[in-house]
Amino acid sequence: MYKKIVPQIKLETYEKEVFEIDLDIAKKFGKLVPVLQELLNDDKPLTIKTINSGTLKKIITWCTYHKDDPLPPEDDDNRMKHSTEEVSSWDDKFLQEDGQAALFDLISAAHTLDIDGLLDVACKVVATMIKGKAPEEIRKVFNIKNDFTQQEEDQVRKENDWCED
Amino acid sequence: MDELDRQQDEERRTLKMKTSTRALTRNDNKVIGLNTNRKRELVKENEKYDTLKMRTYNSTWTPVVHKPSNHQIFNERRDLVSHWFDLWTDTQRKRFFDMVFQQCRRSQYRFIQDWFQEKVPLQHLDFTTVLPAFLSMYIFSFLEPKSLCRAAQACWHWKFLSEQDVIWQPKCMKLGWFLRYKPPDWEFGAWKRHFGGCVKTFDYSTGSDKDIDARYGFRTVEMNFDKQYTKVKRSKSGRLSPNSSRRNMDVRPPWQGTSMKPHDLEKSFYAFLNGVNANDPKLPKSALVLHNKWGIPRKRHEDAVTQSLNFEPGLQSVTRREGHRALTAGDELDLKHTSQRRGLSEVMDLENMQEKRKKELVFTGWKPPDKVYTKQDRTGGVLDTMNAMTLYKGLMVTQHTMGVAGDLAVTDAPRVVFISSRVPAADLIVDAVLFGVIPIVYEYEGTTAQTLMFKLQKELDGRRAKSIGIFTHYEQPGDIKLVENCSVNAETFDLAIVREFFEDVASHIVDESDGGQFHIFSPMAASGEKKNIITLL
Repeated sequence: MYKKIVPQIKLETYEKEVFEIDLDIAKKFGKLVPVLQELLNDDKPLTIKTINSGTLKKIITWCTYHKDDPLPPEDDDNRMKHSTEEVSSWDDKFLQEDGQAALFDLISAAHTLDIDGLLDVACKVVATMIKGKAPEEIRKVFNIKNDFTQQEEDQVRKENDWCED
Repeated sequence: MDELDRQQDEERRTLKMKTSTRALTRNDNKVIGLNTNRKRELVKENEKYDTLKMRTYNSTWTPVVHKPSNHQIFNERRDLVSHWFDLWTDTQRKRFFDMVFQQCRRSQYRFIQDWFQEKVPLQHLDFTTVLPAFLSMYIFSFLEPKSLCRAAQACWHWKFLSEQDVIWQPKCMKLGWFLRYKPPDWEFGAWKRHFGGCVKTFDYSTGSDKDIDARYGFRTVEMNFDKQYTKVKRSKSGRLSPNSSRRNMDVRPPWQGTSMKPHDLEKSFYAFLNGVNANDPKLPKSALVLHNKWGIPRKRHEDAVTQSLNFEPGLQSVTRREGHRALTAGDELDLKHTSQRRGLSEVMDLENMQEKRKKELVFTGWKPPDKVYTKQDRTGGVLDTMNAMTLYKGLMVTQHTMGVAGDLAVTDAPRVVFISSRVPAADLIVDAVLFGVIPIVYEYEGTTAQTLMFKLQKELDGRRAKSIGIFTHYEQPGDIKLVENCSVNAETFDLAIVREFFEDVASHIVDESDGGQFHIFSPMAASGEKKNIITLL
């Protein structure tokens, strides 16, 4: 048996830790792919200061898990049909296990690396957290300080009561 | 020794004076003056307190012993630092922290640790502060309107983010609600307001079916936000499954226009192709025996059976063999046998509806109407019915009964009713006209007696009417306002136009012996005058 040589890309994180990523996993990185391919023969790693090691590790895990997923059809219609459904249980568990801060880092990193699938899924998970909650609960979940005065709060509630029954 | 001691003391004093900030000489009094020197002495007295013991821990630069003022100075300086801190950039702040933390003691580190654990719970974090605004909005775009409205009530920043037009515009567009103008930059949340307004005005209920029934008396189009936003499940072949497509049809709200496949339109298109007016009241029932309302031939049961019997699977079918035989023998292929098409005579037969109709008429025969329709006059009983030809006995009361005389009468001698637009509640009368009675509605203004005659001839199409009725109004008693500038009364009856009209009408009615009738439905107050007119007619 001969050993298959897998081309690898080097990414350097904020902590100056260098990760080696297989190219077929890195194919998920949308617009970044051509940049990475150029760097393929280069020994110098690509430094991305905005991503920390933990997040990148998680991203690599996610990309490895979803490596064989078919690409979603690229039409506007599909893009417009937003819904919070269709998050697989594995994704849900995987994204929520490290707490909110890690999840938000992941969203930011997924945007930087242009991983559409991960970005959508993570945003859906966050949206599910908001969904079906009363304003007070939302504040609690996201540690938001209520900066409305009593008067303002009443007015805002009045503005929005058309969608309540 | 004493001298020396004194000298040493002197020396020490001068040394001390030299080490102090202000170098004072003995003859200072002479140089600066007595008063100033005394002040200096005072200062020196004060400096005695400037020991390490008296130093405060709050700040090394606050040598003030007075506690309240010391506190005030500390507060001022703290505010100043926080002000500077606000102005610093991220790296500057980090450098500052780095410096501050390095100076910390153990207890302070412990305090910081506790503080972090308490105040910054990493489990609960406002993502709008961490993520850039566009990513926050992207998250919000996954939410349905109800949740967005609730998110807007969390705090000002969330309200600002969740009411962006970027989020609401697609939601409006999806439901076909467009803004009539391009919202200017300063108008914030225009699309959200539009959405809310639309929801309010269209007033669809998300409540239970019972509630809807109670409110409207009928089931309204079922609309739910959730349903709107669920994806239409597609089967593997990419086509809508029958179930989901039906659900889609039900869900389709009335303001989204007609359905994708308008069946009624399609059918009326067929009817148009076949030259049949589906809504023609003249259309005899017998025409519906072989064809449906739209002129599409009905499928016969026998046809289906014979077709299924004739059907032969495989290559070695009789029709194929026949065709092959005919080709090889040079015979002409018998089309009748090979194709499903009808022969010319058959087509002619089918197309000639008249023939079929006649046949049907012979066999169906006349049936008495099983219901007697009563028509109530809305004009309060003033509508008087008269039979000018004096053939039809009585029944001319306020409640005029009109029976349907079956198919025969419809085809051979239809009943015609003239309805003037000036008659009160003309629409109601038109609606109440029974099948088989041809209504001729005309505008009172701008119509002449000749036009009426022309219309009558056109409708009758060479036939003779069994009965003709005229609905008109009146202005003076004894007047029949037939059309504008042509009222029938005792004086005008002899005029050529009027006479001609009535003669023409009379000629279109079947003979007395066959039951021909002529009615004038017109309010008449004075019975004497009307009788005169009627007899004249």
